[in-house]
Amino acid sequence: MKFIKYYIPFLFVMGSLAIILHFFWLPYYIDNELQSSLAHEQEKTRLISDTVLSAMLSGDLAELHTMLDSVVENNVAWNSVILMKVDGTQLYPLFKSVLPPSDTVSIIKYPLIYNEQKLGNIQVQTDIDSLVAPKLQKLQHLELLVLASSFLIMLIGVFLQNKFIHNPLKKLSIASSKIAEGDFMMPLPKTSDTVLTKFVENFNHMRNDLKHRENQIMRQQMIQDSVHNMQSKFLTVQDTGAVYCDMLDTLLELSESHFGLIGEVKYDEKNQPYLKILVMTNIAWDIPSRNMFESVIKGELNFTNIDNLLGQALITGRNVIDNKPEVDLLSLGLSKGHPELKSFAGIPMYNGKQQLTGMVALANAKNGYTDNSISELNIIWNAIGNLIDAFHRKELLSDREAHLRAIVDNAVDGIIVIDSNGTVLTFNPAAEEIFGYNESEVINQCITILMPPMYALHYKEDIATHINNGRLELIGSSKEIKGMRRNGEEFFMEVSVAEVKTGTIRHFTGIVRDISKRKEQESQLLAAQAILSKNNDQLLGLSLRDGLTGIANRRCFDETLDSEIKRATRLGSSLSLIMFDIDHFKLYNDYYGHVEGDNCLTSLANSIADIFKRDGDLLARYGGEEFAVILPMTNNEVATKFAEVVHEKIEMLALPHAKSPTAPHVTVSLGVASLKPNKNTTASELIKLADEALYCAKSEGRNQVYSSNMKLINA
Amino acid sequence: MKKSDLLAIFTMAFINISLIPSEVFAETTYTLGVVPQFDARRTQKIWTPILKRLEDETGLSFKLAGSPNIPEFEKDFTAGKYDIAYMNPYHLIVANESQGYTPIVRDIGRKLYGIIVVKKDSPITKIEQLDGKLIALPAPNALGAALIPRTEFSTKFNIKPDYTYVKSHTSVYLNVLLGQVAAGGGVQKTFSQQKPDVSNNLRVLYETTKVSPHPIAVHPRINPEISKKIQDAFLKMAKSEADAKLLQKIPMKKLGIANLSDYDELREMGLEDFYVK
Repeated sequence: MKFIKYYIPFLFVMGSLAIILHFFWLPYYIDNELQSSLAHEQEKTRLISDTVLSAMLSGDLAELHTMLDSVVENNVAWNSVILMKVDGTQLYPLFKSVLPPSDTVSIIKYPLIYNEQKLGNIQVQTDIDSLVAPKLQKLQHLELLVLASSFLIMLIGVFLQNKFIHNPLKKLSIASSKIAEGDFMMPLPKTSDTVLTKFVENFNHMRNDLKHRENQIMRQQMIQDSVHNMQSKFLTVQDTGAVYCDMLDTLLELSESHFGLIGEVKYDEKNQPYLKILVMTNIAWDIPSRNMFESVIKGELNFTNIDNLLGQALITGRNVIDNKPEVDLLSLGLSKGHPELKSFAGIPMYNGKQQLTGMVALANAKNGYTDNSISELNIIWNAIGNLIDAFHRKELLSDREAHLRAIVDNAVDGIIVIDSNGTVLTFNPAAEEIFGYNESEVINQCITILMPPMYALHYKEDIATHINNGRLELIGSSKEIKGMRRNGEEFFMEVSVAEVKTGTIRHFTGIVRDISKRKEQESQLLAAQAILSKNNDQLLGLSLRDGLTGIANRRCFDETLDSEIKRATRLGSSLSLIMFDIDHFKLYNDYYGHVEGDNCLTSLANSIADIFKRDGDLLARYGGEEFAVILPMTNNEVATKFAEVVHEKIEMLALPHAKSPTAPHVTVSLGVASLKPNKNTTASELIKLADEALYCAKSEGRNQVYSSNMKLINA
Repeated sequence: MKKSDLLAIFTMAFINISLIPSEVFAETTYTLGVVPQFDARRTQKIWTPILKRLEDETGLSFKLAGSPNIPEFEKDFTAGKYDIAYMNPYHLIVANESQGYTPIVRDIGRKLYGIIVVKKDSPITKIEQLDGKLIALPAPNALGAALIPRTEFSTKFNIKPDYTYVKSHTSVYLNVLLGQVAAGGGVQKTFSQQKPDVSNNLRVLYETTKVSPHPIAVHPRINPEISKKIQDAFLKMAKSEADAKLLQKIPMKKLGIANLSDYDELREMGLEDFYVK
């Protein structure tokens, strides 16, 4: 019996049952029995004692003896019954006998009480064990019976269990492990009509399910593999025609079709769609069909009439299935002799953006087409849709790439592309011209070879800075820097740099222009300009300068004042005017002579001219001995201060003037006027104000400054 | 006649007939009352064969009667209920004085008397020593065991012992044996019947006056011829071995003629003073 181990729990149960029965229940029961027997005998004694009592009271000892005799006789287990009177006299039995005490003997004493007085007691020696013995034997028999029968039951139970449950289950488990390994054909055990039958049935279902599912998975796997295949071919194989061919072959195999085609949807000038055939099964049967086939390879076959079964999918944008197409093949665009269409499926192809990119047509599947069989291959349709798109874009890309390449190659300016390490990646022909290098000499070199040495160092730092801080002076603007030609010649070039980030790749594109010629021209121009400017100044100077002193003349003053008023109006600023003249100049001239007078004027003008160095300030000779200073953007206070400075300077000069009543040297009187002009203000207004201030200064004693603000400052 | 009418006539007839006293019909049935010395069954067992024999012998019809206890029995015979009665000698005196019962046969082979027993090792040797002591007796009116001894204690010995009535003779002996009483009263017959354990440990202290034993007595209403017939029948039975065996069970060892004068001695004892009513 192989299942011996299944007996173990039962043996265990039985063993514990036996132990429990024997060591716990039995003794407990025996104890109980002894107890109850004892109680029983006690009760008997009590009952006897009642009767005994009455006999005792009446003194009828014969009755007593008869009764007790019969009691002793009837109770085999009662070894002796003794009736004692309170005074110790034994009334029964006649003669005293002492039985040896033993463990099995219990003594029951019962007092005889009448009217609450103890008359004596009955003492019964009983061998309780003998009373219990028969019961005990019965129990032991019972115990044995229970154990034996449970043993038997166990044996039978386990045997039956084995036969009807374990064995079939074991077979079932073997079958299931085989199935788990993939062996689906393993036969399942036959069972008689028990509960296991249902189990086996279900198991069968499961097995079939698993098989079916495995098949499905394999098919799915196959489909996925073919999609991966297609996609990898797209990436690696250059020949698109071959890729399309493979695609179609896979499709035919998966859909069990005989022939089919893949086409790309295109739009003509009128925006009408037509189908450009990318690949078609080669079932050419004659020369015309062979020609057609060849035109496909060349990419020249287009089906422009799509209003038929073939183009239905393109029009409706949905799967078209016809398992009994009754259609004229010629109307589809197929040539004469084309094999009959027994079943047809047209599937539109969409790219990831849900745009129609093409279609697939399949024909003559073994068992026709169903919605399910088409939708099963959904991932292929998606893949093809995307692939058509991708191919298309690849074409465009390569076209564009070529176009861009041409632009770069034909650019007039030099185009250099470097990476973030400064390695030259692109060096177009124009750059070749400019730098005198061949493309191959520069590609993969560091850009620094094109720079003069001092820049090369700086550049290195610059790049580092740029990467760290994201700021490079050159980027985003054009700068004039020096480049170095192959022969070491340094030249000026205009460079504009742009950063090109594609993904994680950072490239920098520089457009370089040799401006050495321009530079030369520029410098020439500058020189000419300088000369011209100088000449211009000279010219200007002649008309605006005072011949004697060299400062601005009256004409200049007037013009300047006008424009300064206009400016001050515009700016809303203050305009000040100082007017001063030499005190008693006529006397000077008379005493010292006109030549000396001219010299005096010149000296004065020269020394004062030093004071007014601010941009915009103008010192001018207003009249014979009159001077004026225009101070734009100057308020009265500041202008007054200036006037004082002038006054002080002339004091310091201390040109002797013997004939001046004011001082022994040349002195001047100054008048200061300021205003904020508006559009109505005229130059003469300001002049008048300043003049008035000068008049006040003169009238107050000469050799002083007088401001139109009526502040009198003493000399 | 309708069925229901017939039924009515029969019923009436039957009732009328049953109302006729029985004596008018068959022969007279004589009641024999037996003193309830033993229990009813034993009494019946003893007397039924004897009566049968009597019937055979006399051609008369007899019926056994009895009463549940002695006081009842005494009442019955004092009322003359029984035609014939078997009773103890004292009862005879009483029955004779009240109804005129006369004895016809008795056991002539033995005498009736009581014995006083003490424990073998008892210090008591004389009746006089029992004065004030406790004596066990079966029942106060038991003729030999109690009535005669009590009368004699008082009249003959002038002692006044205490009595305890312990229901049976055996009880008396046990009481004495177990030291519950100083002495006990019984009869030789019952004493001999005791187990050796008992009788060997007791000693007969005293024997009372011996008197004639139980007679069979007849009521005066019975024809003297009938009485004679019965007497003869008894005597005849006594002679037959088989019948004698029956009679021994009464107990009558040796059945003989009984005279009233046989009981004079008893009469003179003055037992009626000590009879407990």
